[in-house]
Amino acid sequence: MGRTSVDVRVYGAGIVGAACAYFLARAGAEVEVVDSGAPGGGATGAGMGHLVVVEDSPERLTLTSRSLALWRDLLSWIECEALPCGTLWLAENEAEFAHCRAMGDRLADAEVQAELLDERALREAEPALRPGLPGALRVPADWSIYAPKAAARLLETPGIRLRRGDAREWRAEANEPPSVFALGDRTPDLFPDLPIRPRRGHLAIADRRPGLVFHQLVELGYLSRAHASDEASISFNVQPRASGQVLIGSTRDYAGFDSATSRATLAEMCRLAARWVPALADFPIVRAWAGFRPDTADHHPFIGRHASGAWIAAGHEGLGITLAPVTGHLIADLVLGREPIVDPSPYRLDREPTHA
Amino acid sequence: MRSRASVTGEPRAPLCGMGVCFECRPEGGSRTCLAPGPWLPPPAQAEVVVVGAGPAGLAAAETAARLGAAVVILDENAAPGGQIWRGPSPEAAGLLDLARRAGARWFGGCTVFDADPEGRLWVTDVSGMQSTRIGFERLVLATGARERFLPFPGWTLPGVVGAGGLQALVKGGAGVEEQRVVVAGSGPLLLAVGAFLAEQGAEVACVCEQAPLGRLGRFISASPNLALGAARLRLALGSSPYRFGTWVAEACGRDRLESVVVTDGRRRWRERCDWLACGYGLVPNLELARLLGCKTKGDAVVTDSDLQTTIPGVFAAGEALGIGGVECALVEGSMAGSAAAGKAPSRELRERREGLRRASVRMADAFALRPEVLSLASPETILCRCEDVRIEQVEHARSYREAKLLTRLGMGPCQGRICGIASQTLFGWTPDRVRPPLIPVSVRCLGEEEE
Repeated sequence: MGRTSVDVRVYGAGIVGAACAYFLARAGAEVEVVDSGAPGGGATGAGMGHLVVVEDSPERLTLTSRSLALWRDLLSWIECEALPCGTLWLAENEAEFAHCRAMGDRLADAEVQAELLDERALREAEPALRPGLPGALRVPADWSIYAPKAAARLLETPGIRLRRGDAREWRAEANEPPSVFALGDRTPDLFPDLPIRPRRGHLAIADRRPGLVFHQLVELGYLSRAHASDEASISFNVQPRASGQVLIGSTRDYAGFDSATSRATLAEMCRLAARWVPALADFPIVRAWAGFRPDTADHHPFIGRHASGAWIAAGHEGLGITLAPVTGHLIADLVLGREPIVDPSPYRLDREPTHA
Repeated sequence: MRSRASVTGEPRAPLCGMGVCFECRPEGGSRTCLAPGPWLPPPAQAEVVVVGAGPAGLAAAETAARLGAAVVILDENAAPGGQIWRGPSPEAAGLLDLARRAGARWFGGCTVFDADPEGRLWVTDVSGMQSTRIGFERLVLATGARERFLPFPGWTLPGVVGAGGLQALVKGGAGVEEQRVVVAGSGPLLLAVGAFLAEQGAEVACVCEQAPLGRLGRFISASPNLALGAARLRLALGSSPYRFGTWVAEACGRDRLESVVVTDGRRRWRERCDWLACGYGLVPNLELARLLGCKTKGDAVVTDSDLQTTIPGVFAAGEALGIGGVECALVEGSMAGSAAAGKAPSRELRERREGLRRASVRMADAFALRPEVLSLASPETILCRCEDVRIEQVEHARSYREAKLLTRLGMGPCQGRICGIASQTLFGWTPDRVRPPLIPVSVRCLGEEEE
């Protein structure tokens, strides 16, 4: 069935697999993408779709800022409900506000625009936030997108064919084309030596009532809970959608692959959201769900070659949508033997896992 | 009738009349088809909770209470009776009165939005702004049914409503006197609705039943009890024609319904009308059963012969077990109520139920949908009314999940209760997992769970 003309096969049609296929196809490769379910049906569809520069480690700053630059090009032609909302990192006290300032300096060093908002400027930018907050760091170039649509558009690129199939069909044989595995939290099904764990997250979406919040609002404590801890946690993280809906997050815990929502966790997440944005209390929640971030021990992704010969692009924790383009670009570079867009060594599969 | 603008700016007005479609929330507030009122929250704990106060729920509550159980009965509507006994109903009042005299407690305006099999229900008021939790030892699901809506060109125009939907809207105060109505779709409800509307002073242009005469004739002649009832309704319909093997192919109008195109598959003709009351039979409300993890098969909850579901302590009765009608619901309600009170249902009830269920299978066969009504929609026809998703956007999708992901089909406030059933019927897709909240509730309500 035309298999002979496949130059590269990509297993997994989430946003990371779609981006790998896109950058390979753009370099002229004939790419076959294989997935057993709906494209974007895993973490891609369950996540918030926040494109965000994160600077809590040098590697993460490089990777996210390079990826945001690639996203900006993609969003010039991909229709995926993209909203240039920017991010507000919210400080709850003076110590956190000082941290915001330091964060802004580090972003400036990396040529990422950021501005410090004091209490008054914050009130003007986001009047629905509870009064008395000391301030925030505004990163204007961040976005919110609807990622399943972005994945679907990337997969429409000429040179890409989508086929329904199971990654377990793959055999490490010499006559097979190079294969890229972007299986997210399902990676260990094929590569048990790659420790990727499902890290559950809850989200709830409120009915259309535009005009409440204007930026993605994230409490500063989010970063340490997400990347410097394995504890179960709930952080204030609210996103305005292009549709006028408001998306409420976010939680982290390890609960296996049970995607049932937890009543107590949802409740705490809702209480926290209403504590930061009191008017949210009256907003009707139309749906709530849980999904899984593919998490590694040091919360950095695996991007590189496996001992079996397979190429791996997985384990992006909560940053898979942000990091999809840079990951796809890097995979294309490595597979095609080009100069890599970023230094791939921090993402090697055989690195010593150190806690971030 | 108030109309609202859809997410793409089309005029919309209520479709279902019974709290399902969410088209009656002009500013995204609460459903105006459900009467608001002072909310009396149910108690924190009950031995037996019955969800739904239609015939099955009322019979279950009455039976369980009579056998000594402490019973709480909840319904989304302010008044008991369910959809079939909507409005002032001596049957509902009588049964509720018996149940209350036996000690059952009634709470209207209560919608269950979350539940767990360990015996807890979360309940909200009509506005979705207040909530409470109720614990149960045993639960009876008597969640009834809603209409099946199938998309066709023009079905989103104000003035196009469900068949039972128009009946509910009229009982809720909408006037149809001297207005011209076409009743269409399928099922025994059509004749009842036509007769009701005629009694209310509407001019019923015609009742269009998609099932062919031959199939219905054989069914009716094998069911003498039903034949008598049908004849009585036909008489009440007066001179309006009841046409077999016909259906509405299109609804027309600018901002509101002005006429419909009716066809019998060979000819097409236009009927001027103010209302089209159109429903393609009924489908059970299974959301709560599925949330609890009860096994379902096809469109019905699976139970043992005592009507216990696959979740111990959770029973089901009436339409949740498959569309069976009032009499069947009453019998099953008594059975489930008895079992929930700890007493095995009598042999007599079991035998009556078997006969009624056999008849309901014959009825379903007689009213089976013809292929033509499954292909009325054009590519531009809206499938999901909450999110204005059109047929052409989803027809290449391979699953409901895929269509949802790419188009937001089924992701609006009705949570796929309309388009989920329609796309199951049209495309054979299986429904997605049910998650709480079962209906929209406020952030405050969802946050009210103490540790």
